[in-house]
Amino acid sequence: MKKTPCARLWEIDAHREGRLAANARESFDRHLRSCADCQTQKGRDEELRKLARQLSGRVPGELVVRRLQARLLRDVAIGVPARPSHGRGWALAVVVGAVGLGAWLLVATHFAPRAAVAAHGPPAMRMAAAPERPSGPSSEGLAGTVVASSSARWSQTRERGIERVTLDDGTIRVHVRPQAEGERFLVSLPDGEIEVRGTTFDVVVRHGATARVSVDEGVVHLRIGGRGTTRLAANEVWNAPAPPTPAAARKPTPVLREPVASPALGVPPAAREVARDDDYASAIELLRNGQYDQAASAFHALGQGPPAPQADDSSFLEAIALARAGRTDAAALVAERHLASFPSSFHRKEASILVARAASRRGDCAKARAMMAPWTDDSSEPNVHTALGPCEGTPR
Amino acid sequence: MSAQGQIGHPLRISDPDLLLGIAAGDPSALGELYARYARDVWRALNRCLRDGADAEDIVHATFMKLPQIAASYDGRASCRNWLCGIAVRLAMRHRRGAGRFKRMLDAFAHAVSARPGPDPERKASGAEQLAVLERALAKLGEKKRVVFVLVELEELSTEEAARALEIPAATVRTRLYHARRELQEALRGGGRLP
Repeated sequence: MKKTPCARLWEIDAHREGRLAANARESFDRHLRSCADCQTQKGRDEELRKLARQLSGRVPGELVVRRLQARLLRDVAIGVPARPSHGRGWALAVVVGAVGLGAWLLVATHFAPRAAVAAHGPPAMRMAAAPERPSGPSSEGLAGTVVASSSARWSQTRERGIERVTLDDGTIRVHVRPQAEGERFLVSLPDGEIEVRGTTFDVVVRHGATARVSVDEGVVHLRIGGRGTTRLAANEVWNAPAPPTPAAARKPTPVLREPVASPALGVPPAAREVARDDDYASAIELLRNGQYDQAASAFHALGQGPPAPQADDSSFLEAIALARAGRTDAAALVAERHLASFPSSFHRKEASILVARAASRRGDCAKARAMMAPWTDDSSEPNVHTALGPCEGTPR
Repeated sequence: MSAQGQIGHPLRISDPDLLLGIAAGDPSALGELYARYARDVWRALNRCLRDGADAEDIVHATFMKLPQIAASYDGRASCRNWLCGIAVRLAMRHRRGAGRFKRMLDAFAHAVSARPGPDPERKASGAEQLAVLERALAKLGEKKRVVFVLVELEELSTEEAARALEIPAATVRTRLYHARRELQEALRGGGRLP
């Protein structure tokens, strides 16, 4: 005859969850010591629980979380309905989403050549309200969302389209929506200034000086101590230069998450030139080895600081490295900068091709054709025609 | 318009305060809460849904809803379980609307069932036990699996799971009891549990 299971088995969960009153708990504790059924069941449940918790739950990586967080903040700001797309409306949602995403990607890739990166910044944050209004200049609402460490001393103001965050000390993380025409977003630092067009970045100020700027998305322009402008793109970090020493003159080739432009002050010009030659050779080597992102960073770093003989080539090769890395829009931006900085460059045609390709891909045929206009009669150059892509046959 | 930083605040802003901020329309509070719990919600959904693409949509929808519902939060120190509950409830509604949930479950169950049996290497490494449990979990009925995942893996109380699923707590306990029994039988069948 089969034995009837203990009638108090149900109390195992209640006991574990703390749902039993004090008397009932004590009573069950006493029962448990003598009931084999309950002991066995409790043991089995615990073993199952322990085993089940070893099942790996897939979670997104840091990069994905950052991307989705940006998507969330954008969607909340523009008032996208909070429903997963399904049912009869799914096709409409897909179309709307695709158009929105496309538009966002266009903006994001224009201003942010690379996706978000691994987390960093202080573990403890506090926030200031800063509603995002992505729709052009407005006297209402702030363009930047500031998340600050608890001890940070900072303020945020906006006047006539110019928004300024002043950081006296501590760490802040700033997310700035893309700026419309006529708007400016500045971060004032004790020893300099940061200007952005739409980005996410961290700034650390210690003892009255900027210690670190780290960019997650977009591009920031950093001006510290009157030493010119340093451009930091996504995934790049600027660290305050260490006190100058002769060894500092021969800094290693910049790599991702390393300082990309910290001119070694106090280094004799000759030593700086030697270092630059070495850096240039290292950058070329990276490009040859197919390490395009690193090569782009290295060439970019060479373009900073005082003018150098390699500046022309470095600027163009940065664009080439970005293009080979598949970052077409970033390559085009750099190529455009190259054309503006070196109007008589030997690489004018190739730089124009990079700009035209990106414009053609975005459907900006007028720009694509304008870039290639000086060379469209050169039928011997196939790249001239392929650069126009789908724009080649379109009406002018 | 301006905002002013202050000194001496607690190192970590509490969940209830973040939710108050979200209810007041502060996007940075939403961003912070997302950074804090998106992975947990994602993992819970993945364990229930087993479809990464849908989990991404539902996590997104869950946090998108917060500005409307944050004011209704009951003020507990951690809103993790509350968020998981919202997400699972959204997933269930999503399933009812589109019928995709069932197909996902079927696809997952099929995929897991179709996996080759444990080989000596896996057995030696102890992974076989987990594989048996994984297959058994995939074969569980959807209602039982969701309850099991919420209570045993995500550590919601039965009351929290009941609120999340909008069913009586007694129903949660019944489903949990049957889910455990089926899983334990599957594991015993594999010689893994006494």
